[in-house]
Amino acid sequence: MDMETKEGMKEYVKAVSQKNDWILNKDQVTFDNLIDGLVENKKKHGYQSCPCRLASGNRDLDRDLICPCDYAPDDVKEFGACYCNLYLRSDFYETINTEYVIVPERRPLEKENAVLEHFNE
Amino acid sequence: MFPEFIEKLTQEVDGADNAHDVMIFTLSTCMWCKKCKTLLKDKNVKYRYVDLDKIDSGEKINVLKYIREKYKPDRIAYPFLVCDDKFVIGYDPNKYEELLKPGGN
Repeated sequence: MDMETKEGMKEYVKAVSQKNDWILNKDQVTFDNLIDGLVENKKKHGYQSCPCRLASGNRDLDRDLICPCDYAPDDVKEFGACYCNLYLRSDFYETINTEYVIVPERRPLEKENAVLEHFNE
Repeated sequence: MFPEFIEKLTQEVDGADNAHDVMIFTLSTCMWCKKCKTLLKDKNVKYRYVDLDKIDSGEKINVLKYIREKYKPDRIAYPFLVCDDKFVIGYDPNKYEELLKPGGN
């Protein structure tokens, strides 16, 4: 699949959701916005970094942000949604069913600081 | 008002409600940032924004350092909304409502 295209990215996130027993956000506007962001980051950085976080452009520093990010499993389990709300818990629409879920940032602060230092170099 | 190096990076969205000085630091790819921009536009609030992923690294570090030094947030997440001298980290319509209401903030 060509993840630099919308269709390819949709295939990718669908495969990720199936593998993890998650579902994808059914709100078409939100979903399309997130796919657009992932495609843009894939084209810009060479990897699909989380569209809702500031990537450094350095793969090693951004590794934890490559979608699905390292924090998605815990966030989906605890809050019913990943940070971006792209991936949802399988029972989301039966139990939570809100327009969106605000998920607190789980990324360690030291990783954010490392990105800042990277820009400073 | 913001320092000149930030002002020159901003895009302005006009609105009839200019009671507050509203600035948002955003990512062009971020769904929450898009929601924030839409909310402000729907409320007819005049605001400015800087898409941090669209500026170069030197500008980025200057903006991020400024935010950290000026507001001393626990961390920076997007959208980072500044309303006069108050700030909100991340998308939070209830907090926006508080800050933007007439006589708020």
